Amino acid sequence: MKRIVMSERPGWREQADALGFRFHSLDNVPYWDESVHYRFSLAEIENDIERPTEELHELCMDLVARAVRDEQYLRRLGVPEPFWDYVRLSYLRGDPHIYGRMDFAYDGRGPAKLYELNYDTPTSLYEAAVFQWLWLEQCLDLKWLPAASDQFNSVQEKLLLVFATLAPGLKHRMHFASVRDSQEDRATVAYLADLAHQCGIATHYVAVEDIGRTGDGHYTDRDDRVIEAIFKLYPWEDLFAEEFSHYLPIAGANWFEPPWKCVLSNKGALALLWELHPGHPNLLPTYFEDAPRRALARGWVRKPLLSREGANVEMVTPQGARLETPGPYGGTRCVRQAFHPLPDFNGGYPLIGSWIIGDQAAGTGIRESDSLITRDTARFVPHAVTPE
Amino acid sequence: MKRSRSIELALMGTVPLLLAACDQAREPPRPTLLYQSLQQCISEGKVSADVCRSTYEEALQAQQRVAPRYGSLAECTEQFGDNQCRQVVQSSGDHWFMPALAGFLIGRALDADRGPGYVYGWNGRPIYRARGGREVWGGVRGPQSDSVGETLSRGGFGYSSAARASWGG
Repeated sequence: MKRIVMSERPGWREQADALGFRFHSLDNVPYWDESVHYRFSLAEIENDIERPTEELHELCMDLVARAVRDEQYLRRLGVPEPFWDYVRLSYLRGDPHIYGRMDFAYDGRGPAKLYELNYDTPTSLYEAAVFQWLWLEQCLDLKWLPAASDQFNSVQEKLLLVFATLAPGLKHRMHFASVRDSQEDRATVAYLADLAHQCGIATHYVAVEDIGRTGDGHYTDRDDRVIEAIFKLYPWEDLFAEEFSHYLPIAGANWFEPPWKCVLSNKGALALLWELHPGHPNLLPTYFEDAPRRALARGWVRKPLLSREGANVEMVTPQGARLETPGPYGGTRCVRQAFHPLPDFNGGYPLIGSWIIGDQAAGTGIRESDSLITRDTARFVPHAVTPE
Repeated sequence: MKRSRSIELALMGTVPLLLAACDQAREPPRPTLLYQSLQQCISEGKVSADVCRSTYEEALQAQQRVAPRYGSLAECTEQFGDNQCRQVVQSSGDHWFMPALAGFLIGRALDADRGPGYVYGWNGRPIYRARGGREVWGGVRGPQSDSVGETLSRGGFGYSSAARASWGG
C-alpha cells in the first residue's frame, strides 16, 4: 500500500459538472481530490479488504437474526420499543437490502480494523462507483499509471444486479427520497434512480419533507401517488422519531434500506459484535458506555451511538493527547472503542471504505483526512491496484 | 480483473454517457450472472448445476407474470424485432403478444420462505432482448395503472434532525 502524489487530469472539473457530479467541491473546498491516490497490491485487496468485508457482513447478518429474536439486543441498541415488531417482521419477511459500507483502518500490514458500519445511509457512492472508475480509465489512456493497473470496483455493476432482481417484485414504481436542501444527497439518489431506470423501474423523486399520508395511512408523494417502494437517503432513527412514523406498520411501503437495517446502523452494533466475537482480528474492542459521564481513559475513543461523519467523537491517545470533534449528538448514549489510529501516510490519514452490495464485497472508496478523526470535510481520493 | 468493464449512465448528467474500458468494445454493462441458456449457466460453473436448473425454471415460470405484453403483433415486433414475438392465448380467451425469452438472470435474495432466520436463496428472472440488443429485464416498464390517494397532510417526516450538509454517513 502506497500513497502517490500525481497530476490532476486536465478538465476533470468540467467533466464532473457535465456528469452531474457537482459536489466535487463544497463551498470551494475540494472534496474529490485526485492529486493524491493510493495503490494496493491485489493480495492486499483480496486478503485484507475483500475477504474480511464478506466475513464481517455474515457476522452482521447473524447479529440481526439474533436481535429480532431477543429484545435485549433491541433495547441495548436504543431502537424505540413501538417499532420492535415492525423491525422484526421486516427481517422475517426477508425484506431485501441494497447496500452498506464498512470503514476500516488499514496500512497494508496486518489485518484491517473495523471502525464503523454505515449500513443504512452510506454515502460517497457515486464517487466510488463511477468517478474513480473514470479516473482510472483516463489515467490509463494518458499512460500515467502502469499499464496493468486495475481497481477494486464493481459497485455499479452489482447495484444493477440488485435493481434487476427487485424490478419484477414492484407493482408500479419506486420512489427516491432525500432531504430537499441537500444537493449532495439529491445527486446520490439521482444516481441510484438512474440505475433503477436502466433496469426498467419507473422512478419518481420525493423530498422527505414532502411525503404525505392518506386517511388509511398510506404514504404519498407531491402528486398524491401512493408510495409502494421507496429508497430513502434518511436515517431510520430520524423516521422513528417523527410524527409520520405512526403509519409505518400499516402503510404497506417497502423501504430501502429496510427497517431491519436499523440494527446495523447504530454503533452499538460494534459493541454487540465484539461481545459475540471477542478477539476477532478485524474487530476492535468496543463496549456500551452506560456509566455516567466520566473522563475517558487513555487509549479509548468515545462515539455516540447515532453520530455520523465523525461528529461528537472524543479520543484520548495512549500518550494522553486529547482530540474532540463538535456536533449535534452531545449528551446521547455512546460506545467506547479501543484506540487504533489511522495510518499516517505523509500527513494523510486514509479511511478505507468497503462496499457491500447485495451481500457481496463490491469495491473500495477512500476518504483521506489530515487528522485522526475523519469528518465530513475529509477528501475522497481514488485508488489503483497495481502489480508489485 | 477487479473492476467492471464498462459503465453507463443515462439520466444523471447533461450528457448521456457510456464509458467503456479503453480497449474493450463498447457494450452495455453486464451483471455477472446473466445467461443466454441453461447450458451456458451450467458450463460456466459460477453456480452449481442445481442452481442453474432451479433458477432457469423459475425464470420460465415468471414469464407469465413479468414478460412485457402487447395487444398486437405489430407493437411487440416494433420493440423486439421480427420473429421475436409470439401470441399467448388463455383458456379464458384473453390473449396478448410477448417477446421470446433471450436468457435469464440469477440473483440472490433473502428467502424467508425457506425457513426461519437468515437464509439466502437464488432467484431467476427472464431476460428479453429488444431491437438494438438492449436487454430488458421483464417486469413493469411504467405505471400501468396509477394508484393515487387523497393526501390529508404532509411534512410528517424530515424535520427532526439538525441542519446538516448530508443525511448520510
